[in-house]
Amino acid sequence: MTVRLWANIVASDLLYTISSAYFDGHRRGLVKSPVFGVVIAVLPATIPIAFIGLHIFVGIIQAYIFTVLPSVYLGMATADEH
Amino acid sequence: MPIAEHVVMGVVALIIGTLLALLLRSRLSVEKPGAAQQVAELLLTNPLGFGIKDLLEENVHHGALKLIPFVGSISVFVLLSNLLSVIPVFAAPTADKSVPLACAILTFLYFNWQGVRHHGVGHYLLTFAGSPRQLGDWLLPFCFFLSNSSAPRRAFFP
Repeated sequence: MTVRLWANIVASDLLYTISSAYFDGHRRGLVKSPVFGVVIAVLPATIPIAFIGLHIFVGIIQAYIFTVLPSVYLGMATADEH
Repeated sequence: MPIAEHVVMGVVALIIGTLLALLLRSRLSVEKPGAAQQVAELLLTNPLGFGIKDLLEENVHHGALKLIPFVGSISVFVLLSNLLSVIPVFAAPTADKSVPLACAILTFLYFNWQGVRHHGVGHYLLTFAGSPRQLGDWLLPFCFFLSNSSAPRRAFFP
């Protein structure tokens, strides 16, 4: 329970932190072509947003799993027939 | 010694959860439920069957309703903690391993306590051995050792 929740949140956090930093870093030197400039300007906005969306999804799924597992363990602990 | 970030964020998640619950309680209405009340009710029970109450009723066959406060608190705290890092300046307390570990240890202690309350100490320990009587009583120590060795692991791995 601990390792799954912790690892998922760390990975998800890192993904969008790194994506933000990576695309911001590239944008600074690559604005000479107008078309490429637009692409480079849009990417920094869309990719971290996609990863933030993924983080919200992962957060909800992990909270769901953290509800399912206690329910299953409680069911096993209080079951009459084994 | 400075206070660790995950401790502060954990307290922030706790305060947000408590404030939301208090705000919701003051606005509860049977005739005209507001949007927040409907979201909270969906969190508890919904047609897809993955609400906190639905999951408990599906898995626990005796007194599922009295377990809602603990399981609900843990799941709402984990949900708020996970989503906290989406807000700028905040960080997810669950990204530090001590917070999920604290939740898992609490869950581990709670389900064992409920098991002891339901069966009594001796019979609860015996349930870890599975059904050795169908196979033969000589298997009891072996089954008991195998099942008990796996029980504490559940706090760390699923």
